[in-house]
Amino acid sequence: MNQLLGSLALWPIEQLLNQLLKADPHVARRLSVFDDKIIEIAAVTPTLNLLIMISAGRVKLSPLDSDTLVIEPDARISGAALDLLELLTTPGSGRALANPALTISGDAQLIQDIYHSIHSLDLDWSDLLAPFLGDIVSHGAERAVDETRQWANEAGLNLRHGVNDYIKEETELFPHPEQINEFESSLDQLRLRIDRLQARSQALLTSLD
Amino acid sequence: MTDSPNSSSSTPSSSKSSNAEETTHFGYEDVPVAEKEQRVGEVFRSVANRYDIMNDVISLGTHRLIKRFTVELSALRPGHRVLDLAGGTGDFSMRFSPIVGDTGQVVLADINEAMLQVGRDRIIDKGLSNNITVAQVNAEQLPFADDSFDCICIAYGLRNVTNKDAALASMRRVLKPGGRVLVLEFSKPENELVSKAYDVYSKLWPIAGKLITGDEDSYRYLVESIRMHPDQETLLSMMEQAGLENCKYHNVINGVSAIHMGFKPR
Repeated sequence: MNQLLGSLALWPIEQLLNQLLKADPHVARRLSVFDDKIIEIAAVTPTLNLLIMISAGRVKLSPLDSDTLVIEPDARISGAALDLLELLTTPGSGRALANPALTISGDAQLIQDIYHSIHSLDLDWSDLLAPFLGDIVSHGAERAVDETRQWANEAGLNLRHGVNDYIKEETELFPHPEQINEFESSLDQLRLRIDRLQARSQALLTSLD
Repeated sequence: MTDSPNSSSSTPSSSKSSNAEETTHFGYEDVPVAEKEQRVGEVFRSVANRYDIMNDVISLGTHRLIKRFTVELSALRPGHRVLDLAGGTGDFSMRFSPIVGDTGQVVLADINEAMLQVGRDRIIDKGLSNNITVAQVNAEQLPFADDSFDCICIAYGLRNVTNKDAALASMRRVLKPGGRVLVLEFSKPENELVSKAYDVYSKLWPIAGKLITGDEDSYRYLVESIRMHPDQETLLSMMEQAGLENCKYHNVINGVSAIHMGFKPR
């Protein structure tokens, strides 16, 4: 039943993607480079599968895995769902692909090329969605997504600073960096004094001989 | 002696009566083999015009989900050739058509001219006749060249075929090496509770048939023919005996329907 419902859930996304491809010849042209390719994305936490089949300028999505369909994907990428999602949200320097938590098999170059293509598209989602949702809704949706993304970034930054301060200043679980520097400086001083003492002792012993 | 649903004999649909005339099952009724095709034909001529509405009613719309899943399993690509066998009113053909595209071909084939007429008219109304060909054929003796199709799909049709072994062998012949057969058919629920609930629910079908199509007998035949159809493992074995390999099946809705898949060796 899950497979039936998964197939149904993907249908509107597939329809939307294909409508967008039809509406934007530039995107369709970029996609045509990957014609007749099959990419399998397997998330392990939670367990979800997505087969993307690109053919004749259209995208076909399936929740079934390649074993069930008895087909051989050109490339397969698997990992935790959050790590896979980060590939979409992290702009393409390729570092997100180098995440050791992700496993890529088959044509790794294909995965890289698709990744870079997606991030180089610079899609104006509100313009693409406007014919379907209307200008007001699509621009509103885009603004909401941007604001949410900005809030999430700021919240993440504040959280990092807050936790840092709490650990160092409040609970003193870890020493402050200045305290560490002071301690290092004291150690250096002590080492120098020991060296000087050693040198003087050696000189004294030599003079006694 | 009639064929039981769990039998996997080489001629699962026939037996001999005392006067040596071969008989087979038409629902729970024993009929001469030669008569079954005619009787099934009458059923589908009767229900053709309301066939799709009845599918929605008796399956509560779930047949659409099941058909979508079957299309997924076909793994069709542009340029492929697919045979929609016992395709009747063209449901699957209309789903296959945009997938195989202008470079591919769909053949909508059925033995029943009334069902094909409905299917042909629906296809023309949808403007999909570019890559769909309609043909009246007998599944036991497919009139196509060897190695013709990338995929053959027979949905809710195999149980109406008199000689299922002959049909499976014929399908194997016209498949391309590496091509796949998909058999979507009613089957045996895995869970006893589901099985009992399904039994009770299916008793309503003849009543719905009478109300919507005015034909109670045809839907009684439907219910009975489901009971007489081989179960999942038996059909799997029949497909293997027909020369298909890598055969497996997917139960849908706990086995109320099942989709069997098999491949022609390369």
